[in-house]
Amino acid sequence: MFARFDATTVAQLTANGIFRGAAYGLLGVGFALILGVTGRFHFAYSFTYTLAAYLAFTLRFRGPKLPFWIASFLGILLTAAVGVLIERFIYRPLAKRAGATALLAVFVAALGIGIAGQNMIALFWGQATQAFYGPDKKAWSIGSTRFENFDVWQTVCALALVLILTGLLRFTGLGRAIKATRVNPDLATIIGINANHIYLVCFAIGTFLCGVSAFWYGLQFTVEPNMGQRPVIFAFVVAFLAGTARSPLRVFFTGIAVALIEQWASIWLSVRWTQTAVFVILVGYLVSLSLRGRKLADLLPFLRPAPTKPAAPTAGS
Amino acid sequence: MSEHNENESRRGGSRRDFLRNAGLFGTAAALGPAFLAACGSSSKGSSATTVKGGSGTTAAGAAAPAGDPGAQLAAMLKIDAKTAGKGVEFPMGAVLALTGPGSFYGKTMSRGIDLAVKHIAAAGGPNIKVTYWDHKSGDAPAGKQAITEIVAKKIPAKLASYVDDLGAMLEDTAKNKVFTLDGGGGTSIFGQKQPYFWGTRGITPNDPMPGLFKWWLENNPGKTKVGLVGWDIGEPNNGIIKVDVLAKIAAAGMTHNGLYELVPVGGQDFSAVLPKIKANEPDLLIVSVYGQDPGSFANQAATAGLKAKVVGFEFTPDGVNASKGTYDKDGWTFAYDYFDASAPVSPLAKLFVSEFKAAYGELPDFYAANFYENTLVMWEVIRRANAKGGNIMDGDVLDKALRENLTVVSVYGGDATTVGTSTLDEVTHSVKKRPMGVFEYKGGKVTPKAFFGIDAEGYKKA
Repeated sequence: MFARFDATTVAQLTANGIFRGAAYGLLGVGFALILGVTGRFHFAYSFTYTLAAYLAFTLRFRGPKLPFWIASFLGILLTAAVGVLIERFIYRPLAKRAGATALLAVFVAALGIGIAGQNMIALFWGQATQAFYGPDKKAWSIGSTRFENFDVWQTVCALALVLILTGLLRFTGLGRAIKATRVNPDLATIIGINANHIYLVCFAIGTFLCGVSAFWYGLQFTVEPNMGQRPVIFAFVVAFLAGTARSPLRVFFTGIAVALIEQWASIWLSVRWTQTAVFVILVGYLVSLSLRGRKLADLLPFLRPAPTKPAAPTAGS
Repeated sequence: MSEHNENESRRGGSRRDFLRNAGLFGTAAALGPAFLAACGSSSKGSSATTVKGGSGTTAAGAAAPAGDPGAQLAAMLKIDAKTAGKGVEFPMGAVLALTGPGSFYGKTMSRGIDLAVKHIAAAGGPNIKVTYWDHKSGDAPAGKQAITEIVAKKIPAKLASYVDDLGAMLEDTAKNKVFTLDGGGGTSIFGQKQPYFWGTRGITPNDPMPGLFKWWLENNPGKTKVGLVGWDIGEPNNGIIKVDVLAKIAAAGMTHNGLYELVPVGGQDFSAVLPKIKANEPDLLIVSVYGQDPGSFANQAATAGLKAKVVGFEFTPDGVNASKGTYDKDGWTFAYDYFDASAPVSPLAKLFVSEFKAAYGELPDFYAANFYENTLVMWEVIRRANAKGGNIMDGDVLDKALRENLTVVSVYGGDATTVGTSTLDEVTHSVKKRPMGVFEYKGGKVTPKAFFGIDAEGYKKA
């Protein structure tokens, strides 16, 4: 059960943790942005994740057979558009009708979209695993630590996107509008921010990040209908641990921390228990919060008691 | 979901409308697998497929292939028209992985069943009415639901996979005397000796291990350190399998190096386990994972620079895709009762391969072969029961008919003029005689390395 606790093993696990964590972090950033600003528990993230990889695969290897990078970028953009459509035509009307129970209504809808969407993907593309080929895979090493070129590219890409998003939120008018809407959508509407528009922007950005993460996953592993199930759970864990109102950088590095815990846990535990270790830490964190007297709602604003009027703004709908 | 809606419908109008919408999503989610179940069984050319609730029903199989397979089959199996069951409608369940990570299996297995159903009817046999259930790739509640419905519908027999959904269906199968053949996972070690439950394929990794070790030591004398990576299928199943694996390692004169790592089913990322293997690297690493997972493992093992010889227990197109070219470039060695569709041996195997290709446009794999074979075995048991005037709608009668003679028809084995057979064990309910071997896939071609039976019986180099 126990691995030999040597520097080589620890270095390899650490490298693996950073690379896998970058993927968790990027997904977590997108999930946290959507959840924190819109209050939508967007469990259909697993569907958009899978769809992005399938669209990129299809545009490259099926119908149009576009060049690899163009096909991949288009696939991700189309998926971002799907994310926007889900918000505009499903979540928003549901939230409007549900009023104070919007969180539950959207969650149920998102769950349904996630499962039905996954099955629709299997129906249209088939159940089989698809090999998504791109640039040649190369094995690189630093000392005895080995990794793929895709590991490095993915990590750099994820970090760059998170930095861009951090800059956008901090230094642009759109970013300030997003933060204002996150703090109080009703007040934001009063001061002239179109909260519905901001919601759509958040879905576009969040789904785009999700698509990028799926693209790298497909390139490293395979494209198959169930590929989104596990990542969305980790996105949720990362967003929850970091806090949905926190900086994207903090969420991103929380993703890396989660993956490092998962990898390092394998030193002492059988690999089958490493994911359990992550969830044990999540539970421990929540318990420690309660012991310190902090309210969960401080960390996750969407959990605050609903106001007497419908929380979701409807201007422009 | 219906209870939820009833409760909520007592409330106001707008909320009812909202919940109706939410309910539609939930319904879509619930029906998704059923929709796919139909899809899995209604592949190109199939007919008379209906979907109802959580199951799909098909009364016929694939599109009609060229020639007269019915007459050929009847001649090969020396069918007696008096006992063949012509005109009788025989209900049979099939509980397969129609959705989830193992949905590849459900698709290919249902193709094998559908083709056999069509051939049996054409050969003057019964009209086997197959009802499909989806165990969602090893979901125990889905399996329990399936067996409950099978019993409620008084279906006397079923074909199964995932060792009757990883053990969850075994108890009800025995209690209700539902005669069952599992050609997907066989009995495994944990499903042996279960009443009315028979495994018709070699158990992996256990059954091929003696022959594999013999081949390994012949080619690599002195390299005796062996480790294992396998699927985590839960306790007590993991523990039962491990005891047998370790016993076989010791019996072959190999040494277990302590590496026995279990990984999640369907997980493609082996980044956490590979450093552990490298830290305790054996000479021979046996990898008991299936579906796309062996391909993903091979791909990542190559990047990690693993030096150990990796041997798996399955070879599928899904694995080839997941390997991202590693199978073709570096090769993939596997040991089990592999069905070589490129070189069918017996007249039955040749008929099956040509008809499958005509129906589906591709060569059949191991699982399609097993479920085609299982359906033929079901017909053989029906004929035996008919010959004795037994009630074929009684699972107990079918089970007794099988026990009369545990050597049954098989698409494996045989020779150019003789149909092959497979022999089951009366005690374990697993296969006692089954041709298997070590093979290597590389550059698009499978090459046999050694042939043997269970416990390395009749071992010979290819």
